[in-house]
This record gives sequence, C-alpha cells and structure tokens, in this order.
Amino acid sequence: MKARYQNRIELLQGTLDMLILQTLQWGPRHGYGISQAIRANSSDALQVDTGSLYPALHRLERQKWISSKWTVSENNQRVKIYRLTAAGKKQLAAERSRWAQLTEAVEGILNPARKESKA
Amino acid sequence: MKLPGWRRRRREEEMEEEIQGHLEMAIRDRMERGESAEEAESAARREFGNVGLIKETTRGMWGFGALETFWQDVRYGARMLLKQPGFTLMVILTLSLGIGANTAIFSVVNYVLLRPSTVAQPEQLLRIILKLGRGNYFSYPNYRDMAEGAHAFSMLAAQTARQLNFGHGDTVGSVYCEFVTGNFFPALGVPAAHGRAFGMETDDASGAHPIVVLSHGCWRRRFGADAGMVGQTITLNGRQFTVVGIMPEGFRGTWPFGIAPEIWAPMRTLPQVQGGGDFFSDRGRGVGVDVFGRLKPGVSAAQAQAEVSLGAKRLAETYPDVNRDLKGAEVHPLSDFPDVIERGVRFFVAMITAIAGLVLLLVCANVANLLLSRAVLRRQEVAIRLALGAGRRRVIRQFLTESVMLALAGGAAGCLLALWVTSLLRSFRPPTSDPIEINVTLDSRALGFTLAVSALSGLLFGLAPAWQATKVDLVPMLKDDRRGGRRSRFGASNLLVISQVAVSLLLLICAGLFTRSLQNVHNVAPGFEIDNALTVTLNLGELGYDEARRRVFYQNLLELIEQAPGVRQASLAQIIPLKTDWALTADVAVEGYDAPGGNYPDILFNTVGPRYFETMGIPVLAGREFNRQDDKGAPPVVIVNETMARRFWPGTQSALGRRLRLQERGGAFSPYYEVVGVVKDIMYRSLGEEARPFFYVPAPQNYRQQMALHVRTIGEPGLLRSAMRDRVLALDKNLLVEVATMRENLAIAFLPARVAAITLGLIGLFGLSLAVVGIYGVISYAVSQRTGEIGLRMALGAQPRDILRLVIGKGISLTLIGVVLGAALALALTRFLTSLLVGVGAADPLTYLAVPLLLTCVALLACWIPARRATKVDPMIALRCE
Repeated sequence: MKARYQNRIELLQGTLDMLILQTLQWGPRHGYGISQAIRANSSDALQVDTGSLYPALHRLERQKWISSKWTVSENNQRVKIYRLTAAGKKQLAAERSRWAQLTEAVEGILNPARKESKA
Repeated sequence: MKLPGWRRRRREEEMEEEIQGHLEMAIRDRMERGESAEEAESAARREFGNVGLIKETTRGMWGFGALETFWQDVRYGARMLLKQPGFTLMVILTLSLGIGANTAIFSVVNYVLLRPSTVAQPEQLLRIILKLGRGNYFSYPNYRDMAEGAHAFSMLAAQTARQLNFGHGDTVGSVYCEFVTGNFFPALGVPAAHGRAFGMETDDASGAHPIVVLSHGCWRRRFGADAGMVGQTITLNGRQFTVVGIMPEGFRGTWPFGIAPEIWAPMRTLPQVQGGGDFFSDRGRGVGVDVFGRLKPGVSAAQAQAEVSLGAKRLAETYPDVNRDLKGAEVHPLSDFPDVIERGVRFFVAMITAIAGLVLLLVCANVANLLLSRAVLRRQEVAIRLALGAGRRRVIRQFLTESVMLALAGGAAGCLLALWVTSLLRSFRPPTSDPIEINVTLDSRALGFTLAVSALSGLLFGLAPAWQATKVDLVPMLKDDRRGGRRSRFGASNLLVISQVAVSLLLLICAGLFTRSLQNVHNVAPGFEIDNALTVTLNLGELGYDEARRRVFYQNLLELIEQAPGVRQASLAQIIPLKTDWALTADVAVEGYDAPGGNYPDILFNTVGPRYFETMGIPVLAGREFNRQDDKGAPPVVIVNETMARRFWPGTQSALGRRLRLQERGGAFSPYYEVVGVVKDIMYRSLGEEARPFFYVPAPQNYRQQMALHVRTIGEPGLLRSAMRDRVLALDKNLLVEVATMRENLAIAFLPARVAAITLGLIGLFGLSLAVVGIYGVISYAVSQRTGEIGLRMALGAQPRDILRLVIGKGISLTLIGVVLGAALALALTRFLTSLLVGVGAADPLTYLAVPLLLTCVALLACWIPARRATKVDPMIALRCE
C-alpha cells in the first residue's frame, strides 16, 4: 500500500485537461473509463482523483472541447460518454505543443551539458 | 440569473447517475479481481472520495454559479436569521437606532454649522460693525453717511429686526420681522421663489409700500405652503401688508446658525407698525440698524476695511456730540457671528458630535458582540457543512452574506428612523417667537457615512468569526457540540463589554449632570413669584396715543383689570424679566461718586408702575415702593436693587435719600432722582447670572408706548387669558394684546438647559440600553457554552444559588471594571462641561454615585435572566449532551 502510494505521481497543474483530451482522442469513453485508461497507460503511476475528474469533464464540456451523450454500456448500464469535438482537437494540439516546450525547457535545466553538446 | 428549475433538476439527476455509475463500475471491476462485495464497495467509495464535495465542485462548473450560489446564500441566510428572530431583531434594532440617531444628529449639525443661508457669491458680502461704546449698531443717519462714502461696495444694505403681532384671517401670533432697505434683496442677489422680492422703489420716504416678502419656512409653517399666498394681505401690529413674494427654501437672510426671520418688510414702513418717528433722523440712537454690503468686483476686504475706517473717522469728526464714543469700524465676513454666541454654538455642536460618535462606536461594538457570540454558537453547524463538503470560502461567504443582510436591514430601518426624526425636527419650533428655524433635511452624506460604518462593521465582525469558525478541527467539533472553540475569542468579547459599559457610563454621567443642572435651574428662585402670574403685553405706539392719553389709558386699564374676578392685583412694567434680552440701559451719574474720565457706569433699568414689587413678590428691603403719588410733577424718584445700593453706598439703609442722574442714548442728563427704596435682587436677563446693579423708575413719571401688564391671579393664571384680553379690548378694540403666563415667559430662559438635558438624557438612555444588550448577549452566550459544566456542578450538589452567583459574578466583574474605567474617563472629560452646568460641579458626587449604581443594577438584571436559565439546566440532559 505504501509502496504504491509512493509510485503515484501528483499531476501537474493543468495537465489533467490535456490527459483527458488525449484519452478521448482514442475514442469516446465514460468518466470511469477515462480514469482507468489514464491509470493503465501510465502503468499505474498516474491516478486521477475523481474530485478533479468530474469537475474537469463538466468544465471541458462547457468550453465545448468535448460533448457528452447517454448510451447503454456492454453491461447494459446507462452511462454518460464523452467525445472529443473539433474544437477539442485543436485545443489538444495546442496543449501538446505547450507541453513539449515545457518538457524541453525542464530537460534543459536538468541536463545542461547535453543541451550544449546538441548545439 | 439562475438555471430554470427543471433543467437544474435534470442536471442534478444526471450527475447523480453518472457518479453512481462510476461507483458501480469500480465495484464490479474490483469484484472481478476477486474482492468480496463489501470490500469492493468500501474500497471504491474510499477511492472515490467525498461525494458531496465532488458534486459541489462539479456544480460550480455549470456556469451561472456565482449568481446562483449568491441566491442560495441569501435564502439560506434569511432562513437562519428568521430562525433566531430575537437575535435578528436585536441587531437590526441596534443598527437602526445607531444609524437613525447619528444621521439625524449629523443632519442638524450640518444644517446649523455648515450650511449658510443661500445667497449669491457670499465671499463678496461683508458685515460692517461700528465700534461704539454702548452697542455696535449704526443709527440710520450714520448708515446713510457711511453708504454714501462707500466706494468699495456696490451697495450697502441695512436691516433691523422687530418682533410684531401678526394676523391673517383668524390666526394671530407673534412674528420676527426684519425691516430692510430697498437694496437688501439686490445685494444678496436672491430672487423670490414665488412672486417677487421688493427693491429700491421701497426706499421712498413716504413709506407707501406696505408689502412683505415671506421666508419659505414661514410660508410652509404658517400658511401650509398655500400657492395663492402672493397677493393676499396679512397684518403686522394691525397694519395691512400685501404679500408680494416668497423666498426660496434655504434662504434665511444674512444670519448664520439657523437664525431665520420669517418676514421681510421695507424699512420705510417701520414707523407705521411701531412708533418712534425719529428712527430715520435720530443719529444718537442706541439701537439702530445692522449694515452689510457687497464688494465691487476686484476689491479686497482690506481695501474695504480701510475705507470703512475712514468713514467711521469722518462720522466721529462731523458729529462729535452724538458719535463721541465711536472708535472705528470693522468689516467681517457675513457668515461670522458675534464671538460669544459663536463659541457657545460651536461648543454645543462639537459636544453633540462627539457623543454621536461614541454612540456609533457603541452600536458597532454591540453588533460585533452579537455576531461573535452567534458565530461561536454556530461552530457545529459550520463543522457539519464543512464535513458535508462545503468549501471554506463558501462558508465564509455565507457568513458575510448574512452580516451584510443584517447591515442592510438595519440601514433601511435606520433611514426610516432618520427620516422620521428629521421630519419631527422640521415641524418643531422653539416655544418662543424667536426666529430660530431648524429646517433640517436628511443629509445624504451623513446617512451614507453612518451606513458605510455599520456595513463595514458588519462585514468586519462577520468575517472574523467566519474565518475562525472555518479553521476548526472537524472531528472534535462534531463530537463535542459547543466547546471546541478557542477561549481567546471570549476575551475579545469581554473587552467589548467592558468598553461598552465604560462609554455608556460616560454618556450617562453627562446626561446625569445636565439633568441635575436642569433641576437646579428649575429650583433657582428668579427672585420673583412665577406661579399665579400673568402678563399682558400692549403696544400703543401705532395707535397714535400721545403722552396724556397714554396716562389716562394705563390708569383706566389698571383699574379695570384689578376689578376683574380672579385678579388679586396688577401693575405695569416696560420689560418682563427673563423674557427677552434686556436692551434698556442708562448711564448713571451718582451724586458724590466719581466717575473716572466721565465714564459713567451703564446700568440696566426697568420702568414700573405702582405696587410693582408687591405684585411681583419682590421684597422691599428698605424705604418704600412706588405709589400713585409718584406721578408726573412729583419729585423724580428711583428704587435701586441691593447690589446697586452696596456698590455706590455703604449699605441698603444708607442708600435712601441719595441722588442720581440718568443719561439715556447719549442725550442730556436728567434732573436728579432721589432713591426712595431698596429691593432684593432678582434674575433679569438669564438664570444663573451674576448679581448686577439694577434700578427702577416709576412709570407714571414716564409712560412708554409699550408696557406689559403684570397681573397676580388668585388661581390658575391660564384661565384668565380671554378675560384679560376682553377687558383690554374693551378700552380700545384696535389694540393688539399678547397674554402669557409668567411660566410661559420663562420658557426661553429654561430652553438651553432643557434642550441639553433632553438630548443628552435620550442619548444616555440609548447608551444604557446598548450596554444592557451587550452584557446580556455575552452572559447568555457564556451560559450556553457552560451548560455542561453547570450540569456537572449541579450533579455534584451545587445549589441554584451557587450557579446564580457563578454566572452573575462573571457579569458583574466585567461591569465593575467598565464602571471604574468609565468613571475615570468621565472625570477627565466632563471638566469641559462646567460652563454649561448650573449649580452643579462637573464632579458632582450624587451623579457619580447614582449613575454607576444604576448601571450596575441594570447590568445585574441583564445577567440575572441568563443566570436563571442556567439554574433551570437539567443535570442529566446537560451531562448527556457531552
């Protein structure tokens, strides 16, 4: 229990939106599915706090980056699934490029020598 | 704006379903991995977190959130406030009293001190004061000469005031009227609101313009703002005048401090309403006109001063005999006022302002106290809301919403109160015909200021407990209902109570001192009997009586009155003591008494009829009083008072037979008068005045146009009013008579002390009730917080008596600390009140004993109610709720 806790990484501020949009890129999903997908794709390192997930989903929907629809799941359960919109795709691209810039900059600080040799 | 109900409900249901779906899927996944149903459910729920909080945050994402949560806060707040109507009412009442009282007081202060009469370009207006030995008045000829040589001014106007009998239809009364030169209104530059103001054409010496202009206040009060007044006739001392105009509101002529003549008439009509045809020609008159002028553009006050000084010098040189005392002239801004009055008024206003500030402070402290106590009682509620997922900011906002709602409700009630008080003040007229107008309108700045202060205090004192209440550790708070709070807050409210008691005590001591002073004023024997006495004021001037006819008239009148049933005896006097300011003085040359440099002492006197002293109940100490033999042709005689006898001669007995001469108004000296009697001193001009020399001359040796009958009645004097009027009118139906009881005449003398006592008494009472509310609030809070402890004590055998002692002891110790501090404060501050107090020191032991005692008793009562409640605590219930 303790080890698992340490393996978890706190999400950086603002990255949750990007992760949700990225997850929906692969196809429409419901809230639980999104949290499971993020967890699985990060090898259990990232765990989305439901307290942040649902407010984020409702916020993204209001910003028209995702849309929602009620359907019936394979378990015959009524579920609300979310789908990426065209505006959401554009937003995702913008956030990815910002993320790339950020990681590059952080990398440059953490490993200055490598950066110089590249140049 | 808020979401429509059905849409909102659907969204709620959908969110609920979404979350439930999430949980179900999580549980199913866990069970598929081999967990038992119970394990899976509890783990899933734990993982999911606080459902309420998540819902709340998610809801926040729906938009329209801010307005909607605000609306929620308001509804919730209203419910909470209605649930505790006692608390709510107390806060609103306190706030409204504070706001209302303060706004009213500041509106008065603003009106009296800060708002001058509305005139055009007041900075160009200067009053000219002639430095004469006796009075600083211009005689009319002196004014004319000064005006002719005044080139710095575009015009110099003159005014003189008279109190006149006024009539219109069936209404009669006394009115303060100003007779003004034709350039008065042009100089002030204010047009009439209705009709017209009169101008230079009225300076025609024939006096052919019997017209008047009414003040707005006069028009409103006496004629009910009748739009048809212009063109109607009114009578002044029986003469008909046509109303030609009504001045705009806010125009009060030339005087500061709410002094407002009601009627303006052309100066040239003065001889028609009041005799004295020498008004326009007698250069040596003691009482003449007040003069002011409007500077020409670009001329400085210094230039005007130089010119006026030169003018005064020329007057003194040209007419050395009558202007011998003229020592120059000064110019002052029109808004200035003679020093003495100005200082008195400013002091009173400053005191009232300071007191109003203290009251506001008390109100704020009280509201703070109530809010603090309540916040602590609501800790449990807050803890539950936090546990159920309310954000901290949300809870604080909720508290603030409630405080602001309270402040607004209090403010609204306060506005109503202020409106009511100011409308009361507007219709108030002092019980005299003096031209004091308190035309107060609600001052928006004052209202805004007090509203802001109360709202701010509400916010501040609402914020502090909200901040603290949301910082609690939830678990102990939920378990233990009341005592999770820190005790430091109680310290703050103790401080509030102590300061409240101290300030209330200060207010109450001021009120007490003034009440005692008022008592003394009432007890001060004015030196004459004021019960069973009546005066009838008559003015023969306008009826054309000559000296001989006056003599016959007055003699007949006295006989007629003395025969009337209910009348014991009657006499005459020119002036009624203590009724108006005494203007009757003469220079006195006492035989054998050296007046250095020809500076004869200026002494007040009265002209009185036979048996005046007997009628008034003034003891004759030596010699005799006037009788019918002291007539015209008989040797001139005079009666002096005790102080005068002691001043000029060794004593009362030795004054008899001495002689003195009089010189009135700079005229020639009279023949010698012989002193035939010495009488006891009375109060002449004001209650509490120093003993002053005074003398009386017999009326039959010099009947005046204006005399007042002094009647001693057998019973209640008010009943004889119409009988007296009828008897006088039987002699001459054209006479205008004014009947008043002696007590009514004295009303003005009592007025300042009475106003001060009533004002301060009310404010002190207000402060007392605030302190009581404060003490009650804190003690009942303490009791509710200690219910468990009290229950325990009673379970262990404490008697109700012990509990009472415990609770009351706490309240009384706070009160006593406050009382000691307040008394010290009062001792330090009331020294400044000495000049306003009559016959009572600022450190009056009775006041300092009685007021703290009263306050302590009231505080005891305020503690007793919650203490009684504490003894009713059922130990079992109290212990179980631990």
